[in-house]
This record gives sequence, C-alpha cells and structure tokens, in this order.
Amino acid sequence: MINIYIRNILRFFTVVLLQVLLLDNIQLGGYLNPYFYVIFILLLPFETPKWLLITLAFMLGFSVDLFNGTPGMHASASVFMAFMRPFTLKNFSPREGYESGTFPRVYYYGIEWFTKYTVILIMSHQLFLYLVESFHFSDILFTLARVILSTILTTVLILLSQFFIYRK
Amino acid sequence: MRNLLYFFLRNNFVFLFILLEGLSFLLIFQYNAFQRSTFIGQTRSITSALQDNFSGLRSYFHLRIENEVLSFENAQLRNELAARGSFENMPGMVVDSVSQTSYHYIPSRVITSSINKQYNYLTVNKGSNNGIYPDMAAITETGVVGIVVAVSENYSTIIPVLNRNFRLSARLKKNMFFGIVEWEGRSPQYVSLREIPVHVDVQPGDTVVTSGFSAVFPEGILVGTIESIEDSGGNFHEIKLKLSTDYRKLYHVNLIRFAHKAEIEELENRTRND
Repeated sequence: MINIYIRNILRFFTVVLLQVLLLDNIQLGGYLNPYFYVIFILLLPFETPKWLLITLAFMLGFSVDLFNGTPGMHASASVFMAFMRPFTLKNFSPREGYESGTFPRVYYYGIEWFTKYTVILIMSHQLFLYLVESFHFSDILFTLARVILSTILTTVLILLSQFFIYRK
Repeated sequence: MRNLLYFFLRNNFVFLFILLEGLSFLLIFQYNAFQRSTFIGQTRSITSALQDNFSGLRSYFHLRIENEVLSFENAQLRNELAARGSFENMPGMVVDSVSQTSYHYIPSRVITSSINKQYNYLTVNKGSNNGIYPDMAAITETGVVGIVVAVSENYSTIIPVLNRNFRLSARLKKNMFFGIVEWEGRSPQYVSLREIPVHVDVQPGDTVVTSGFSAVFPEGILVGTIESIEDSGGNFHEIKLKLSTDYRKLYHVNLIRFAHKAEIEELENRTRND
C-alpha cells in the first residue's frame, strides 16, 4: 500500500520536471504547448479522497506556475480539472463500477474508456487555461481552436506514454 | 452553527474547489499584469456607470463641507487682498504701513438667526477662542451683516442691520455724501438711509456702501441699492434702501478684525476728553 504513495509522489516530481524542463520548450506553431503534467491527476487512484485530489491538483499546477512565471493560471486550470474528475469517472464507470486494486489506465479499462476519460478532462483543463490566459471572449474562436489542437496534442502524448512508460 | 458546519463538511469538495480557485485567481491578479488590467478594465466600465449616477447624489452630502472650505478660502483671499492694499502698494508708491493688513477676515457659520422680530440677533460658531471680540464687523460676500455684540468662548452674537438698535454710517458710492442706515422694523429687505441733504442728487438704483468712519466696518462694503426716494419737505431725503444681503438665507459670515481699532478709539477718546 505504501508503494502507491511513493509512486505518486515520485510521479508528481517527475511530471513537473518533465513539463518545465522539456515540454515547456516545445511550442508547435508558436501557440501550442503540450501540457503533459496533468497525467498526474488522471492517474491518481480511484480511492483518492476528493479533498486530497483537489489539493494535489493545486500543488501540481502551482509548481508548474512557479517555473513558468504565471502564478495561478495552471493552478486554477488544474483545480478545475480535478474538480471535474469525480463526475467524469462516475459518468464513464463500467456497469460493475471500478474494481478495487485497479487504476485509471489503459491496461485495466481499455483504450476506448481511457481516451474518453482523458479527452474530457484534458479538454476541461485546456479550456480553462486558455480562457484564463486570453481572459476575454472577443476572439473566442481562436481560443477554442487552440484548446482543441492542444487537447489533441496532449492526449496523444498521454496515450503514447501509456504504451511506452506505464505498461502496467 | 452545528448544521452550518455539517453543511460545509458534507460539501467540502465544492467549497475546497471554490477556495482553491479563489486562491488561484488571487495569484493570477496579483502577479499577472495583463489579466489584472483586463479584469480591472472590465469591472471599471460596469462600476463607473453606477458610480457616476451615485456621485451626483453623493455630492449633495458634501456641499456643506465644500461651502465651508470655500468660505474659508474666500476669507483668506480677502486677507491677501487687504494685505496688498488697494493701490497704495502699486510700484513707485510710498508704502503706507498703516494700510497694510489692517483688516483680517475670520469665516464663521450662522447657527441661529431671526428676521421677524424688532430686535433680531444672529449667533455664529466662532468665539473668543478664535480671536473674536465685541464690535467686530460681520459681512458676507453680498454686503454688510452686522456687528458683534457679545462673545463667549466658542460663539458670538451679532446685532444685524435688522435690529432697531442698529446704526450704520454709510455713504453714496457715487458722490461720497454720507448718512445713517437704520431699520424701521418692517420688511427684512428694506432699511432707510437718513441724513442725506436734499440738495444731493440721489436716484433710485444708486449704490450705498459703508463709509468706514466707525473703525468697525472697512470702507466700501456694499450695503444696498436705493429703491425709492420720498421727500416730504424736510432738510433731508427720506430714502428707502434695498439691502444687498438677504438675511433669510444667511449662512456664512466673515468677521472682520480691524488691526488699528484700539489705536483709533484711543485717539478719539483723547480728542473727546480734551
């Protein structure tokens, strides 16, 4: 059981460092940034208490913010994403519910389930992030285009990671 | 209280969400100039429309203070004017030390006043603590008011023109003939000007100002304008004078301290005793 805690703590630091040191330097077309770090929120165990989930999301977003020099932006988007997670899980739950001892991963619940789950949450995160970043609705179409493209990019990265890094 | 606590605990997820989002936005507005300026700009356009409407209303509540400030400023400006003299201080003229700062103006506010009695009095909110003493002149921007008769620490009473005991030395502005202004106890708008000889050319509309003979009022303060002249065959005109000051809406009064008053009075007493 202690294994889960250590693994998640390590994952926290790994994704933050990966994000700020490597992925933040990738800017496709000058606009798109893959936000891989949110995989931490996706992969938290089903049994995670809601308050811990949302607090961890804040800490995760805030860590990324500190490196990016944008205090509050990633934090607010991550908190929003964490807030959406329980409802999304409930919506996509299998008929029997989530079995104990399993994790929200492709390995346990299949690629279709994981893709739906990921796209919804990544979309909510990106939408919130880009809306806060642009902070007005005047060029909403441009913002939405960024959201969709960025969601696709991040989802592809996360799906790939499921096959290459998190095999089990 | 207990139920409220349970309510928060039951919905801790939602409240934690709101709390953390609030914290995030606080950080955003604190440290991100663009978002802050946009946020302020957006809210400003909404609030300023509301504030515009309210400030019109609110300004009425400040009118009293504004008025006091203005009357204070008026008094100061008059002081400066008195310090400069009228034309004695023109370049090339010999400066007369007596004419410098001979009058000092102290603003005050009327607390009680009456106009409907035969012997009316005013009370103002400045007293001996503010350097007021009896026999100081009281004027407004529109003209003479009266003379201070009694002084306490913080208040003083003024005997206005509208009192049957009041006498004021006044002169015609155009030809310097002087007479006595007194009130006959009827309309608060009219007084009579006596002791102007019949040979003097007086026309309705002529301006009457203080003569400056009494060492109380400075020279040339407006008293009123001549309304009508009735001659009944005596040696003097019987002139009805319309007061320039409306005593029914008297609010701010400037009290005048005359620096050389004691000197003049002492001189006059000495002359009389001789």
